[in-house]
Amino acid sequence: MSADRRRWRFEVRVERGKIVELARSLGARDPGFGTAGDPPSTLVAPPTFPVVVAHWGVANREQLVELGYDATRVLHGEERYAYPDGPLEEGERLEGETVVAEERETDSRSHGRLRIVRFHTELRRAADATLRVEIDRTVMEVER
Amino acid sequence: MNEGTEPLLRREFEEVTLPRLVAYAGAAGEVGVLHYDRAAARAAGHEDVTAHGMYAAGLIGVGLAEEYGLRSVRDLEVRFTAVLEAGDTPVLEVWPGEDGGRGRRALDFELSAGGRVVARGSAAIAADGSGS
Repeated sequence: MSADRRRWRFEVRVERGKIVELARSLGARDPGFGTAGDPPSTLVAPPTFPVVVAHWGVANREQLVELGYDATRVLHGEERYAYPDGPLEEGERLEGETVVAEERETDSRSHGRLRIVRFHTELRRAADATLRVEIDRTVMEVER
Repeated sequence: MNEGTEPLLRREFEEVTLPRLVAYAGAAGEVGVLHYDRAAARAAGHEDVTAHGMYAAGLIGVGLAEEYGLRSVRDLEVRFTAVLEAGDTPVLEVWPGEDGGRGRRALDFELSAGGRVVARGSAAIAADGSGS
């Protein structure tokens, strides 16, 4: 992984065991996820599979600390996935980049001052740079 | 949202449990103390250990993919509104959305438990359920 203060690059392989592990923890029951019945030779990754990039060097908590946020006071606000051509599949090799897309502050009656940060991540096929998935994660550091 | 209208889909997931959350934490690589330590969770004001936000989003993703086709989900946008806790039995309800774009079907959804909405959002799925 390479990094400056607001940009992180990393590699990901879509592994069969990690697909099954994530799908099983979510109670998936379709054989295509590898959790039941007679699974196919190539598994499909669940839509939120990119959470596993935490294992590939991009743990959101560490990024927040790098940016000066108190990770113990951070709430998850929104998450968006956009797949132009369908889900990730077992065996894919991907190159990823996460950037800080937006930072702003606002006030909230329930939580006081909010510091809001949105991370934008793109995962591209390593072989030809085809965009496979875009991810936007918005988190908030609350005052109280 | 969609109050009083019959959902297209209603799926009840298995009860949220401490072992399940620990399994998810390992899978996702996201280990926070509120997700496995009951004393810490209660000290923070929760009844029990809490689920990761992305655990809730993961249930929604799996629920949509298993209903509409494993390769069908093109866009998934989730807003977190409350916390899931151990002992909750999450329920996903899905309604028609407004505009999914060309060749896509739009859906709105809510994930709720114990009478509170924990996440809501929208999705676009390939209208024919295909992978491209």
